[in-house]
Amino acid sequence: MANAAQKLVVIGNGMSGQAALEEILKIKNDNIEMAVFGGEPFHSYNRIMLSDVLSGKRSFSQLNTKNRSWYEENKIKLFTGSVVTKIDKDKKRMYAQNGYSSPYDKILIATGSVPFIPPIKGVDKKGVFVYRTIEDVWSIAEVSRYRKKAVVIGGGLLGLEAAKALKDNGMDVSVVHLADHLMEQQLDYDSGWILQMLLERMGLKFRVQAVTDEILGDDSVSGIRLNTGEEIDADLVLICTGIKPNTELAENLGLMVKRGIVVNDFMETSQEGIYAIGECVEHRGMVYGLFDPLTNQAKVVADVIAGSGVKTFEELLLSAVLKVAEINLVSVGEFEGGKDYEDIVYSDPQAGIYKKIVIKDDKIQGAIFLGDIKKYREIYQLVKEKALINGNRHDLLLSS
Amino acid sequence: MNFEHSSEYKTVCPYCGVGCGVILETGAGKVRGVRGDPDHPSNKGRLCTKGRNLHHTIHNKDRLTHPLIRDSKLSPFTSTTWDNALDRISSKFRSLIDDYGPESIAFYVSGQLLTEDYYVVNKLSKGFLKVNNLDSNSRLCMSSAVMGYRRAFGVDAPPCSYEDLKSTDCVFIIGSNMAYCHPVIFMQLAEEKEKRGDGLKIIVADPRRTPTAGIADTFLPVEPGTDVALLNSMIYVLTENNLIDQDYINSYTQGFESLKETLREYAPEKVARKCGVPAELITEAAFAFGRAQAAMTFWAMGLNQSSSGTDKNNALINLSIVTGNIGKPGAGPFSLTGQANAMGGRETGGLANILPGHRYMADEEHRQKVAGIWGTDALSDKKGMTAVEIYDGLEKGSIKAVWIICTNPVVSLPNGSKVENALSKAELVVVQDIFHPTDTSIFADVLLPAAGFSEKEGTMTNQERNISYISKAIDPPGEALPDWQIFTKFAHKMGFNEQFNYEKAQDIFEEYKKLTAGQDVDILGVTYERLKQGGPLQWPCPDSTHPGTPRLYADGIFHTDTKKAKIISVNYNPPEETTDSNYPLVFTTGRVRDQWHTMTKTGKVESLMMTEPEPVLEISPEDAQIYGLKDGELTLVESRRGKATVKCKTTDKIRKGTVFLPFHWGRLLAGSGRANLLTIEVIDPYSQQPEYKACAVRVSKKLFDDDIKIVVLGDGTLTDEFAHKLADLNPNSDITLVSASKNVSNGSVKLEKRKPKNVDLVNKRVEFEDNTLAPYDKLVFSPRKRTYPPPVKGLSVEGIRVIDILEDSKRMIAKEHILGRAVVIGSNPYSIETAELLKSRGAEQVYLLNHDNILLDKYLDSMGSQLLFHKLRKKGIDIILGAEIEEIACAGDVKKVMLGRGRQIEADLIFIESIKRPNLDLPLKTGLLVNKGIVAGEHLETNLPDIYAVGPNVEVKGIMTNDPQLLSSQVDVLVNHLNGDPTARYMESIDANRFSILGIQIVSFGQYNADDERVNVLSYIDKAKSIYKKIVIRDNTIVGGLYMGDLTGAEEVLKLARSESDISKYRDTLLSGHFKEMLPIGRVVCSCMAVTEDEILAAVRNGAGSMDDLKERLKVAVTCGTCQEDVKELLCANKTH
Repeated sequence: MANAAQKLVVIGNGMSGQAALEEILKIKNDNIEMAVFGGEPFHSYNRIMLSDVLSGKRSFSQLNTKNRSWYEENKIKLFTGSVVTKIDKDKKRMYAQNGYSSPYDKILIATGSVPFIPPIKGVDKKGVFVYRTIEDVWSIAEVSRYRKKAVVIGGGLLGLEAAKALKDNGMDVSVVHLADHLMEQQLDYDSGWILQMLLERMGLKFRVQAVTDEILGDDSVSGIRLNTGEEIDADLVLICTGIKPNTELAENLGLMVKRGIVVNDFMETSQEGIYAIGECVEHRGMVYGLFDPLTNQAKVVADVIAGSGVKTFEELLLSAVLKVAEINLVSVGEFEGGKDYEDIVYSDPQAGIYKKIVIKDDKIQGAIFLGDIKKYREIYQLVKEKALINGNRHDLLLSS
Repeated sequence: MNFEHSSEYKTVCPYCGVGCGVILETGAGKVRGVRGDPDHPSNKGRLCTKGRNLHHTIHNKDRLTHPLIRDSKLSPFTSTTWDNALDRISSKFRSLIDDYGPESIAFYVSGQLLTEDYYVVNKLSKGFLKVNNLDSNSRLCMSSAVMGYRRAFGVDAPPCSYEDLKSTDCVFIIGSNMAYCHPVIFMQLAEEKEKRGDGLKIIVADPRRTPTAGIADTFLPVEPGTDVALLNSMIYVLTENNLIDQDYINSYTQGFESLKETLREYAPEKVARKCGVPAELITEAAFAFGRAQAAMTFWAMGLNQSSSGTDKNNALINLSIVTGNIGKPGAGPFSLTGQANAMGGRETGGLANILPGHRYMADEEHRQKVAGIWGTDALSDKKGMTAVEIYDGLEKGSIKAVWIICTNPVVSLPNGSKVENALSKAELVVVQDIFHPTDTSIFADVLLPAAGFSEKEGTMTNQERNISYISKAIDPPGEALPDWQIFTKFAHKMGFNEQFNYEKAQDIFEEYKKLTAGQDVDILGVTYERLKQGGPLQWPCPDSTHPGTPRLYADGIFHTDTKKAKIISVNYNPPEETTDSNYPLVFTTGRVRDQWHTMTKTGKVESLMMTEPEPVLEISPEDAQIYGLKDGELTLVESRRGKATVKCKTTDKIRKGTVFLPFHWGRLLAGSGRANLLTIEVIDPYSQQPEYKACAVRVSKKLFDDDIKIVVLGDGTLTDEFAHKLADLNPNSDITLVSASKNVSNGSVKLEKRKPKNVDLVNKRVEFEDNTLAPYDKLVFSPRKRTYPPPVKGLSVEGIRVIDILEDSKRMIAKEHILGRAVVIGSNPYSIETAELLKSRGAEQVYLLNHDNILLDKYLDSMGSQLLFHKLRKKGIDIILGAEIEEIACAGDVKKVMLGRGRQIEADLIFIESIKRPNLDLPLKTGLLVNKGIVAGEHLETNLPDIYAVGPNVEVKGIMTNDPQLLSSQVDVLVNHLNGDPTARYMESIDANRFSILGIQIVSFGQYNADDERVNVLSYIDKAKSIYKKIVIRDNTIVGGLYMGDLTGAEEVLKLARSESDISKYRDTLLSGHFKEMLPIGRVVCSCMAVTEDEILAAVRNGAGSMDDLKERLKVAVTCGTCQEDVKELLCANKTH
């Protein structure tokens, strides 16, 4: 190869950036030189397991997917603690806040997301935390050691994981949730209620359909006040009200950004040579926050940058087997059902089991499995293949 | 282990003589769990079904917690102080001793007392009150073995140990269903057999092929009572074939020559017929025994409980002696003991004829020695009365007061009615027990609350002479006290303070020990400390370094006068009562697997009651046919002493000519289903042990007594069914069915068409309107429902149709030319069907006015109602829920239904359902208790004597039912109850509704709508298909259910609900309907895991071919292993098909 190697700079060393690097290495294209800029002072780690660090079940080193020597062995330049602030398109060079800079031919943006912090009065008080990075977790763990009462704002997946971890640390934990049931992104009302009951059995407390008006306290947090006027004492408040795509850099670059950085099926942004994957992107109107789509996107973008460029990212059936505070949970597709659908529901709340499939035109459109996920794979295939179930409804949920 | 401070305590199971070590787990003053002690040599961690459930017997509502007293047998008990209660006894005792001498008093004690308790009561009675009438229930259990040992070896001491099982190569079990009665030792034997196969020969002799025979190489189906003939014949074979140990006989025994003389008459060919055992089998068994390097024998009540029990024991011991099977590893005659501390009791002198340290009352020197140590003047030389004699004395009046401790003689002694009679006559009956009521305690004048298992400290000796320390884990309830403390308190009342100056159980043990010095039972080397630290010790153990004695007579020196083992020549004597044409069957008694003795403890454990819920007579199929009995039929068993009514079970496991009934059940649990109402009180001349194992009986189908006049008031198929079922039991029954309309085909039922107007309770007769009379002994009400017009204003408006049933609507609609608007008012299924019929017949608009807020609220919950609602709306029917109808008005041809608040619906046609209420005029007039219906108890009895009620308008435990299955079961219960079936009870608490509406089949039952905190609800909803299934669970039991649209599994789930089965292991498949093979319905075989016979059979059908398969699939026989042989039997009987 006579040509000089193409320089690829990956901005963001989170799970997506890491996945992209690995996929590119698999292609074994010697023509690519890679550098990665990570904003955090660490190399890549598995963010999904942060709550295990919070509860003390794992150490940080057990979360590391790759250590520094891996980057060296694979000739990848790693810049940690380096938030990219400026990109000079003419010089084809980028600059990080801490002074590092690197030339590039192609850019892969994998800046992920940042916690969404709702406009609540008093969020800047001492003892109020978000839950995103290992550093957040360390701070929370430190504080939870000598404080007794925690309020977690947000009863989604992340909030519940964090709440359970705080509870395991011996804190008295209340979860305040805006919607009328927990995990409304993945669960319908009834299953959300069952999940809440199971978590209550573990000692967590809940306020659903509750809006936090204010975080109380002078300098340090002393509690929160709900819009009903109810006050809950707390010396630690954790905000887990969701994430928003981190698009700041892309906007500065003048890329098309809607909810996230807009990409096509090849993960290309509106400017040539700039790609984006992960939680920061928007594909056909969808922003994905789960592990499965992220891995697929990494494969597509690796193929585009270093391979044949034929793979495309397609709209994904959203599905995930989740483990919320040791409870198995799956939801797939259109799980809400209701008016135009035919729902079939099996429920055994005391045993923590709820199974629902949503049918339309004799096809399964979606499903929820809580507590018992034995049949999930089978159902998932049916949803994916849009298979006709031929009226065989009874045995879908009820197994012998 | 620290015994004092731990929340775990080591003790020994208080049931049989195996003496299994038990670890108790306690918490908050209660025993929370038990498990086998892995360090205890008897069981090494194993426990049987009974032992595993010990903790369920301790904390019980029937515990006696305070002394109770009453003035006469007719007055109720009142709570009193210990002082008062003991004063009452002491003043009576004093006056009886003054007036009639100490012979007028008796103590009846128990092999369940601890050694310390036993010692103190014995010392009090014989030493200080001079009452020699102190006997123990051990008399009923193994006194023949005691005498057998004493006659052969000079003392009462089983020479071998459990460890001999490991080195024996032949085990002969006779008269013992070890698999049921001593399960843990049996399991060890079965394990050895499994390991060694042909290397360990097992011979079992029994009139029944019991589960014990499941591991036998040779089974001898011996005729009851003929054991001596069988045993002598075996020795005959041994002698003839030179399989005896002549050297041993010459050196260490005496009496063999005389035995040889006797044996002449016992050639196998000669005795085969008598014994019922083919000659070849006798020879085979003898050869197996004779050829063994080391052979053991085990026996229990089958030999002991006999009028020639002692002879039977010696015949068996002879077998061991002549083959030299004494004093060497793997050999010896091993008597199995029924109670945990029968041996400890005998060591301390707890029988009428003995004194502590294996001394004899009849021996002057022994009496002096004991009196000296006790510090009392000369002991009385009067012969003490033994168990049966004591009750005989009470009945005849020579004994006037009895103090019964820790035993239940009304159930356990032979000829039970006589015992009841004896206790009724007694001037003072003191019962000291942990429970009240028992069959015995209800005869008491004074009730003393004792501390039970886990509540007191002491020692016990098991059947291999092994002494264990028993620790106290929890405090006894209320004012209950350890038995020795009660005796001590009483001794103080009688003025014997100094001599009964014990502070703790250990003081008693130390005193008792001194009495064993130099005796064969010398335990001077045993201390509480040694037992606590080093575990059990086998006596003799004469000094503190002595390791205990696993095997006696290794030196060939015996405790007889000649120091030789004595071969006692015994001849076969038939049982006292032999069969004849009047009483043609031999009646024998025994046990079931999961009950112990008279069930005062095990009868309180639910999982143990599941395996054999009631006493059942076993009979061979041939005899059943001869005496006209069908399997499961109610049977009358009669002996010369009494009658018992029980169901029968035909089985080829019992000899033709013999019937068997377990003896556990007393009057409280089974009414007249008591084996010991039939048994004979004849006793063995040497051991005074009663003959429970053979008496003569006859059996017959329990016919309904034709002297009893039955009058049945009511209509309908149910009363007809009742009358006919009763008539079937006896064609000559005197039954009058008072019914207005029914045709009765069976000529034995009198049909009475007159109208009853009154019941004369005093003269017991029904009065009719025409002033005629029908006298009754038993009166049965079965009122039917009557229909009334609905209480709606404007009902008289022309064209309003009142309908009673769907047929009414069908008939009316068929006649009408349906057009325009129709209104149906009602909330029963037939009203909904009427609305649908109207719509389908062309009505322009149909309104259904439903009074309640949900449809069919008696049968559906709100979800079910919703489904039906949508279905009706789809059919174009308008529904108004919660409709309150004010009035129906008429304006020309148009009718208006006024619904209040100005709301009205116009209609051309109106259908309205009638109201149905039971006609309870006569029951009310008679004075029956009526709530929703006539209130009846579990025998369907009403509040008035001799008046019963059955049918849909009868309320049992608050429940009325229309379910044909339940109504039929009511009829069965009443028929069986009236016919004397002690176990006939109507226990159903789950009513079921079955109907179909708009093509949707519906079953709802029980508390399908329950919504309290303890309720769990499983549901499956497929609205689009109108399918809804719901199961309501409380404490792992189904209490209700609702099935709509798809009834798959509904009936099975209803059965599960009615059987109150624990469904935890089926929970996730309950709604699927795919679980039929696993239903835990039917006879429970494995009580640990609640595995039923049906489940085992299903697994075998589905290919389980070995025990390992079954263990893997069903987890059966793996927890404690007691059911191993039962499961094996089911497997073997069914796997080839």
